[in-house]
Amino acid sequence: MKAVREMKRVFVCKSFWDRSGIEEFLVEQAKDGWMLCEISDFFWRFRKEEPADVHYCVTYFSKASNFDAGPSKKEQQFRDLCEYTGWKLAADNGQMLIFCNYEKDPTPIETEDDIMLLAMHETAKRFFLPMCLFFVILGMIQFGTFLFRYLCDPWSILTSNAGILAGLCAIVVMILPLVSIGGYYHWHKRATKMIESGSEEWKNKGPLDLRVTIIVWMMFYLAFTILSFLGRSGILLGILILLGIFGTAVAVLAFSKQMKKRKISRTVNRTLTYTCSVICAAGLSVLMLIAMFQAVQTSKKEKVPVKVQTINGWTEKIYHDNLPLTVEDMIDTEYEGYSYEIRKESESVLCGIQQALQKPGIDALSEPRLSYRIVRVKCPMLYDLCKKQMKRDFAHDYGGSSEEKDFEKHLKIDGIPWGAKEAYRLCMGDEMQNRFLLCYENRIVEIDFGNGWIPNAQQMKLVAKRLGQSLNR
Amino acid sequence: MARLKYQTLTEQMFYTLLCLKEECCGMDILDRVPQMTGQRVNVGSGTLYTLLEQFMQEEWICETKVEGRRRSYILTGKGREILQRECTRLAAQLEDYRKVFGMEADI
Repeated sequence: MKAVREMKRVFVCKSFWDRSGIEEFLVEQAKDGWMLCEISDFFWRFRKEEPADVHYCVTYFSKASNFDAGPSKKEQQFRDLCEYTGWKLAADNGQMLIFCNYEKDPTPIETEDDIMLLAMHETAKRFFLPMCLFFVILGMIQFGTFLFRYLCDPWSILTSNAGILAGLCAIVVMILPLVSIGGYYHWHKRATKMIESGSEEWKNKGPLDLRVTIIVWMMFYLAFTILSFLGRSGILLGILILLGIFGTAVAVLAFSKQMKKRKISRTVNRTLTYTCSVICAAGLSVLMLIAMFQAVQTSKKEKVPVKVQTINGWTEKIYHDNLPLTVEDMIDTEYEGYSYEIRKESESVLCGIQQALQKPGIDALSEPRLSYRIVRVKCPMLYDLCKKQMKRDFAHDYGGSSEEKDFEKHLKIDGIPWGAKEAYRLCMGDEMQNRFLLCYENRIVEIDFGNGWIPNAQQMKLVAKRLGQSLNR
Repeated sequence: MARLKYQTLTEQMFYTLLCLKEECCGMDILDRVPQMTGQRVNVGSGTLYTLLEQFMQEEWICETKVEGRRRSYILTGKGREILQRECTRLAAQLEDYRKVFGMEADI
């Protein structure tokens, strides 16, 4: 025989402000014999009883808090008044109280719309709006960090999906609560007008719920963490830390709930909960940063040189990475001790970067060398930005006096021999360097021939062919 | 509270204040208003709670005693003045109506 369920837990994704939606949902549940007995942020508990026509009323008590061990004297007075008119408290969640009434045609708890709106506004001012502001500040801090990182090393952001996501996350976290605040005041203004004109429509749609911000933020954070660790050996650690963050959040909430049960005062509960949250968040953030750093270090260590040699007390590593363009492709050389190294290679949805170096051993420094950096711009809108950044990297700004500032500069040269739209050559003081910046259709190449040789027309064409098309299209 | 700012009262505000001519608690008001108006006006418990809070803030009423969880209130001089002003306003409205419709307007 199948056991009859006495309780059920339902995931309810109704906005805090959606009074009509919540009331209709609860009335339907009661008709099926499920009576509300407990609510939390997402899961609501229902008790099995005889199906009945029950009236529900969602109301807000601005002075209540989630940290209260029990109702305050004022809240009790409010509950008593409701109970006197047949409305029994079904469940509460901080400032939101849900009453039920089994009478056929009860007097509603709220009989005047502007008074109801006033109670909602007071509630918003005490929790919703300050929390929105908190998220705006959090977003601003994140955005500031992102901006700082971008200014220090733009390529680490532009060529990393995790970096781009971090920026997007910061912007969204900053904008969503701002939208919530704006949306709330817009809704409040409209509701006031509707009440004045006698319309009841204002009850049907509330402002944007703060949980939307929290959920979006968590999803971005999750995606960011996975992307940051993806393909690196620290992924397991990353997932564990992420689970740790959610676990800690659940533990802190449970801790707060326990204090509530043990009748610990609102102030103590709030102080301890916030302190625990801050300590845990800071601890986990540090752990996360360490794990990310280790993951990056580990992924760097994975590259094994083909040979490690020591000459005159100097140790150097020899790599044999597959480079798209080598010295041998351009000139005849009998030297065989080159190290071919891809020093950096990363790609995001917006940009890709590849940095290569072919250098002779320490014992043959007079042999020609070659180094280049290729930036592939996938998003045409970013081409000018990348070009500017490459130019900035290309000719370092020394700061200081104007003389020093002009020491390193890039001179525009003819791009046609290079097969490029634009070409620049580095100049240090009055001396021309063998370093060029070449702008192709969707690629920007910076190439340094060292002091080995000056490229001829044929070699320039080869650069265009190999590097102008070297990255996957 | 928009109406408090403009010094006009809704029916529910008016009858709540009227009940408080004599000392009474919230529950008494919930009973008296429908009695007074022949069930025409009902004040919801939530609305009444907010009204009492607002009236206290505006000093239109004051708390007289607390017996357990029951709190009693009474109209203050300022509250009486507000009620008087509202009566004068309503009387003027009625008078204006009568002027327009004459005897047929007698209710």
